[in-house]
Amino acid sequence: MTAGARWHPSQDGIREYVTGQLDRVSASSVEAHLLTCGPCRSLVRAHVPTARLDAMLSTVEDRLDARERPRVERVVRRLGMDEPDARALLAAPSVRIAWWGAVGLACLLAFLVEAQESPRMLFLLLAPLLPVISTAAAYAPGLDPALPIVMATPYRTSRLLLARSLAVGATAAAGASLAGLGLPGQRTTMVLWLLPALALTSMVLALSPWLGTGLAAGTVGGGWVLAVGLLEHRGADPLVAFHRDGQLLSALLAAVALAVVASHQRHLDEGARR
Amino acid sequence: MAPDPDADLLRAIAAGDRRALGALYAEHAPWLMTRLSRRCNDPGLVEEVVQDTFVAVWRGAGRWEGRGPVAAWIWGIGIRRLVSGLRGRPAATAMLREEYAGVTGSAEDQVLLGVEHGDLAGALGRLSPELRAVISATVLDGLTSREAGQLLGIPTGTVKTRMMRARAALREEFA
Repeated sequence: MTAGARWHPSQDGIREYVTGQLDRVSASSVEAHLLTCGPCRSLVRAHVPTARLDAMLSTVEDRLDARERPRVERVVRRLGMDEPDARALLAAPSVRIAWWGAVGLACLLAFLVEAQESPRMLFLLLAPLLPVISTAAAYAPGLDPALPIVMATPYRTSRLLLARSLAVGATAAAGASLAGLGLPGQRTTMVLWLLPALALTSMVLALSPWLGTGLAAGTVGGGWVLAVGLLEHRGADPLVAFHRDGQLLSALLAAVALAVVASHQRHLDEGARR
Repeated sequence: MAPDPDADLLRAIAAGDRRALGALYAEHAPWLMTRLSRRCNDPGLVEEVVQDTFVAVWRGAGRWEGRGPVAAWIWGIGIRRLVSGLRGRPAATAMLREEYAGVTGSAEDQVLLGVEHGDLAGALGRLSPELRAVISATVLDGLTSREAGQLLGIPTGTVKTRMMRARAALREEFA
């Protein structure tokens, strides 16, 4: 059969088909015909809003992009984070550096703990610093070429920074906990450092708008080491920081620091721009 | 047979050419959306199904066996996506648009249809809407009885009995 001799629905027939006015039998004929006739498909196309088609196509393309995304991002999204968050969270190499840094430090910590004769103390003193360092690394503007781009978008920088410190801090905490598993004796040791670590990390977050992240981390970390050293120097047991009073103080400091962070989100936004 | 531009597009898509997918979409999304809209009155679901279909085309372009029109292959994907999209929905959403079943086309269409189908068109037109819906889902849309049942919101057994009744009625017409 040549194209010239073919049956085609009338223009009106096509229009009635698209608007749903054509009877079932005729509509079936049109549908069967459309499978093999490009020119008649073009007639149908003229009745479908282009904007709607374009919007649908861009959704299709987004979904194809999503398929080609790095595996980490897909994992994070499966954990329930929505797309902009996941993308912004993982866009920066600094996050990955901090991530692997945290894991590496945790391994180092485990090694040091093994080598030390009083492993428990060393572990407890070093573990809280781990999330602090990781958080600072996840923030550092110098390490993150994606930061200027993120700042140019209507995405809250503070949200990004908090999400990142949470993600990286959690990795670091998990790493330190694993290292703690290697400790002989009390399993509770693993848990003791969490509150001080939370306190130190949130203090870094709270101070970073004013000092910049690196300096804030240095100050807080240095303060911790100094406090421990001072306790040691006075002949007191440095592990007192993990006893009841120390834990209470940590909780208090963490609460205050987090309150500062919450009420100064805007400052955090600005602090990151420095 | 003339070379099929759609087949070339599918080959390019299988090789990872996004622009070819755009071209295939421009050619086939409009009629697909229109045809699906006649089988489901939820525009949101229809859009979703069209998008699913082209995502599936992108992933499965290499699996096209080169038999029959590409459009028929796309329709096969689309209608099955619609069927699975309708699963678990109330039958009301899935019902074919019976309200159009009784509307007749223009006189010109009737003549054209007479040329194309002879008595068959008239015979199909005289079937009850339920029987016609089953014929249309199985014979014309190419679904299995189970899929047709899901599309129409009726049990598989009902599809089969209605098919038998429709066949008997048509046989009588042409006897």
